[in-house]
Amino acid sequence: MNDTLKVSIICGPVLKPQKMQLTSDPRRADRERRYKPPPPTSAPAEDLTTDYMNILGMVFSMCGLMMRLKWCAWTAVFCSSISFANSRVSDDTKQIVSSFMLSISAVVMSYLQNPAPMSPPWAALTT
Amino acid sequence: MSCDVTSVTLNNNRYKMRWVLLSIVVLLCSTFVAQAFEDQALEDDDFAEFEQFEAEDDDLAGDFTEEKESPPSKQKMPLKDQFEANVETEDEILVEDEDNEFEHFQDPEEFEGFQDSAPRTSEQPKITISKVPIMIRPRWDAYWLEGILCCLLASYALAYVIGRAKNTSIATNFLKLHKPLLDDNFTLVGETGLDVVAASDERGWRREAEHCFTMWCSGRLCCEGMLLTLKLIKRQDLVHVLLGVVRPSPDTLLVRVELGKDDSDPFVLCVAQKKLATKLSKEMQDLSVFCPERRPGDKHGLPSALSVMSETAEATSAVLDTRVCAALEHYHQYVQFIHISDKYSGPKQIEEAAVTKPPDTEKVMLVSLALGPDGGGDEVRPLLQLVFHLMDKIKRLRLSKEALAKCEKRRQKVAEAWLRGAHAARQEQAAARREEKRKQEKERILAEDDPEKQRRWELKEQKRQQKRKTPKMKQLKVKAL
Repeated sequence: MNDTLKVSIICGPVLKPQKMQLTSDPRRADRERRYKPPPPTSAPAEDLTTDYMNILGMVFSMCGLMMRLKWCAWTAVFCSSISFANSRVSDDTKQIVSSFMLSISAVVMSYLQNPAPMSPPWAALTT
Repeated sequence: MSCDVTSVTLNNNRYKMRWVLLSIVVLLCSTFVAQAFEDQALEDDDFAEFEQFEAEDDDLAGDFTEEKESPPSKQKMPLKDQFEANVETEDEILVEDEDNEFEHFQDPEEFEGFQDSAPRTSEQPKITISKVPIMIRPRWDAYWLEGILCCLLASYALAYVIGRAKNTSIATNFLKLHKPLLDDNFTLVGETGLDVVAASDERGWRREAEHCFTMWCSGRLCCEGMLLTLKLIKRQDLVHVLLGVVRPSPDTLLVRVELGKDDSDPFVLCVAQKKLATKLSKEMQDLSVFCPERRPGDKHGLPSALSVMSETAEATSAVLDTRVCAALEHYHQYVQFIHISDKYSGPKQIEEAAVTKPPDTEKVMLVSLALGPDGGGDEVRPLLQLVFHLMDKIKRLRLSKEALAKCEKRRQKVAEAWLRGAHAARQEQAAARREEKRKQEKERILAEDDPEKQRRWELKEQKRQQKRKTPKMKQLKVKAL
């Protein structure tokens, strides 16, 4: 209680602009501007996770397809999932969809060629 | 009459003849078909041949009792009487031939130790066939690693759905809490459309990503507009959620106030958290140029956790008045930075990118706020009010003549430095272009088969080089007295 009172005393004028607004309304319809996206140079650092994951996913799917490495194909599926989750609305959906298709096809192809189950990496050490 | 009778009998005879002919044709056809069928059957079955011969043998056994030893294939021949004698002689010859050909098999001396080494036994060798288990259904338990991966994928998808819903609810909650305040200050708040996050059919956030929402507010004194960017934790991404456990990061609200041409005097000021201040002073173009000095917040009546970077002390003291200081004192943990600049151009550009052109600058005030857990609550309201207060303050602020002159001078210097840099860069580019052109010309001349032309070009080049080496001097013409 004491604390809030102190805060209201300290930040009084800041916390009570509504009272000021009653006397002077800051709104001006004539100063209304349309939204203009800020220039790309001044925008804060862009999130590149989507791009990185997309590239990684593509690399892993190609490895999975070419070298028949199942763990590569599975990693590609995870990479494209992360890429999808982090994608922006403005991003190209085609790219994400194609990345997904490629990774899933890598998994399917690797199991069609060799339906044997995947062995964990530590299996080679124990045997 | 008799004629009629004969014709009738003739007709009857014709009919009978036809019937007889038809029946004969049918019989013949049936025999042909039967024959053909028999042949087909013979062709299909390889051993039918021998069966047929055996059958014939049985029939003819009585006639050829003396030739029982001869092979059955040869017994077919004596059916025809005219070749009988010939067949008998041929058989004898054949038998003799066979005796001569396979004589060495009978010879005991032909194969040494053949009988001894491999004695024939009446018993067959015993072959043991081990039982192999037949796999009818695949062993699904062998695919446990795949099962784990599928579970992980499913949990990622589930986390995506839950995280997305959570982020959306934070955004709508923010609107519920603070939209009235924004509506009191701006005539235009948010937007309508398809991909808009709002409580009901109202104007609201525009979804940029699953964790990023923007809202444009405009129509207020002292500014052109205000862009609110709600940058939430990537709750939709399970990987980021797990990383957040290790290194927690808060939800942030970035307020970007675009100031009008006459809304502020030319100065750069930044108040930021200590760690962030070092980063900003290195990265931001305007801060690195105009505010080289970084002072601790204590000297300006601020908490020690904050640092101040300012171009002119006058602006600092004017902006950081007692009210602002008090608010920052109380809410400093939520304020990441307040950056007021008339020459804001974002982070530094890479050297090669645009050396010839100075970066586009804007008059802005950027305020970054760290929101409390789950998107913040009532603590955001006074901070938004602080932003509005700062807006009004900057509009009213007028620097003294001396300070203004100093700031203007600094800007001029920076512009000149840019121009100089741009000029040097342009010259460099031009020199590079000239060099490239000369190289191409040289290659062209060398490619030609005219030695005279090459010699002339070399002379010309030599002359040019000499001219370049000699120092430039003005020639003074001395008039002869």
